[in-house]
Amino acid sequence: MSKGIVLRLDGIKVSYGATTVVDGLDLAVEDGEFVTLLGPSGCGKTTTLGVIAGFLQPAGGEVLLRGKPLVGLPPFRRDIGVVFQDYALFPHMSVAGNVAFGLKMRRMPKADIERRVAEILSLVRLDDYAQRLPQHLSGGQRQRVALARALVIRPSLLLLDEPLSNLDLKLREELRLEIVGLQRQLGIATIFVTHDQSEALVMSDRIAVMRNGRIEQLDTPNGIYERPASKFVATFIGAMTFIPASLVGGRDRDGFGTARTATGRSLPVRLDKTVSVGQPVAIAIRPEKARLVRGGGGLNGEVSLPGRVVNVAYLGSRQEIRIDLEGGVPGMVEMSCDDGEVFHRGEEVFLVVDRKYCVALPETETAV
Amino acid sequence: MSGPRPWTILKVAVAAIYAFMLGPILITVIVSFNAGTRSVFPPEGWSLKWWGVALSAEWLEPIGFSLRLAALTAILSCVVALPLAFGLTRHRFPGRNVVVILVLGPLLLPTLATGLGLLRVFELTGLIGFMGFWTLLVGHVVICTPFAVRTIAVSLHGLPANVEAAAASLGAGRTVILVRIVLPLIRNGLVAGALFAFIHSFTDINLSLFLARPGASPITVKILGFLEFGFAPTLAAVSAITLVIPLLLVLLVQKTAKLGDFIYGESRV
Repeated sequence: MSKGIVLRLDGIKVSYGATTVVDGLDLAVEDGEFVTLLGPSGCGKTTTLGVIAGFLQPAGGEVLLRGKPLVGLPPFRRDIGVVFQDYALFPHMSVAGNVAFGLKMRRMPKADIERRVAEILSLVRLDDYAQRLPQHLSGGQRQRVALARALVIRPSLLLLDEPLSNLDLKLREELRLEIVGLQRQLGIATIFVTHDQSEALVMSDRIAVMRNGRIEQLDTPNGIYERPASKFVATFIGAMTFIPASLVGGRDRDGFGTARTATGRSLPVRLDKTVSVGQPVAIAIRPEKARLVRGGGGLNGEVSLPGRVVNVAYLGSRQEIRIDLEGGVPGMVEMSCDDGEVFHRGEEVFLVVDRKYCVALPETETAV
Repeated sequence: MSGPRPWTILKVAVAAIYAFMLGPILITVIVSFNAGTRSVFPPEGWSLKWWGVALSAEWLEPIGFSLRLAALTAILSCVVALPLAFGLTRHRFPGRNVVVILVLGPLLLPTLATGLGLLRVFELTGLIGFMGFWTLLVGHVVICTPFAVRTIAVSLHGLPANVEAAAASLGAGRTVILVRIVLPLIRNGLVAGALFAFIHSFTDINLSLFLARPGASPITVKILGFLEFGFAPTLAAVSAITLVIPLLLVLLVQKTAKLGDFIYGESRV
């Protein structure tokens, strides 16, 4: 491994009374890496952040920052920058005062403080706002001050707790790129908490999809999207068609298994996860991997499923078509509009998809 | 829906309330400029002689006593109220309701009863020798602290979420957070609490009656004592002075701190 580990979480456990919020969580973040904790509310992602920052004491486990154990250490001895969802700027201090606070706490000489504050404010394009009070700034500007305040102390680790969720969509998309750009430029290892899958996909080096206080899958955005480890992960990131089935045949010569759907159809499926024969599975198909054809029949190695068009949503460059598959299973197909092919509601069609995009995922309880 | 009539009624009612509240005060002030020896309205000619008496040492001394007492009460009430407000807003602990009642108690009980009780306590503990300024101070802090607890607690509730956590993550310890973040942000609550405590102390008579002694009496007790000889125009002048002091103070403080929040729940921006 060429890069060093900045942060290591080792079996973190947090419970409130009888409820376990974080349940034995392990994670390692490398130098300069941007890792996202992604999950629905209540999955324990913000709690995990609180444990790292020192706002919460875990019931068990250890937090190591560059090998130094942090549990039991108060937040102000941790050298970790935090950006909060509601900015948490000091309302009685100017922008410059807010940003200088952490440096003053480090008893840095005044001249150095001024230089560092000016530097970071120009980096977040707020040079002209140094003397303003936070209440006279827009939401996006406030968030940039919060970011500058956390970065100026050059912490070993930056924690971002849903920093974009109070902003409107356009600003959010702008700030995503700005945050990632700044993070790369300064090379600060970052943990980002969000429930927004598109933020996670755009910004992260790696994504940890969390559920019930555990990491369900930790992988690159591409890995999470292309090879989801569970039905939960597949549902949480992007849209999916799930066809209930059970696995009836293990790997054949080409490495594909065989699944039988609830309507009795036998289909070849890709086996990423260890699922054993006889186990109930969901055959997962990404909408953009499939296409619709009239009159059935696919090419060699393709799967063809009959269905009826329920709705056609026009999205400009693409169209999103919802269909009812056999047995009332809802399906979705996303196709380019270029071909000029138009489908209508009620039309009998076939969903055609290469078998390598039919992934058999173990069927677990769906708690989304 | 029926035109301006309800508003007219409201306006008349408000005007009547002000007339009944301010009328007697205004009359008192006018009477203090009376030339005659009897307190009558309208005055029998004009004179400043009663003001001369009112501004003599006989009256200025108890006014000074009351001012010192009220100022110290205001400071001590805030000092006592700050940790109480913290505990009550931040923590759910066993016996919290008992503390709430103990804090609000002096507000709910007649001060006369509090005064009588305190007098007995001072007797039983042998502190009766301190009768005068120090016993009055203890009593006034007891009855004024609830006001300060209220206003400080309101301020603490209004603190933006996470500012303390943010300060901690930037390297600030507990004391620094209290001094540089929390206290500046609850300043209005502290000022309002101190102001209410000051005024409550300055105008109190019920409690002071029990805890004062001759030569160490606040102005209210002195006025009451003087009343036994009838209402002389001197009293009108003294009353006017005691009236102006809290009013000036409120105006002064209003300039530097927003008190609206604590009086009629004005929203803060």
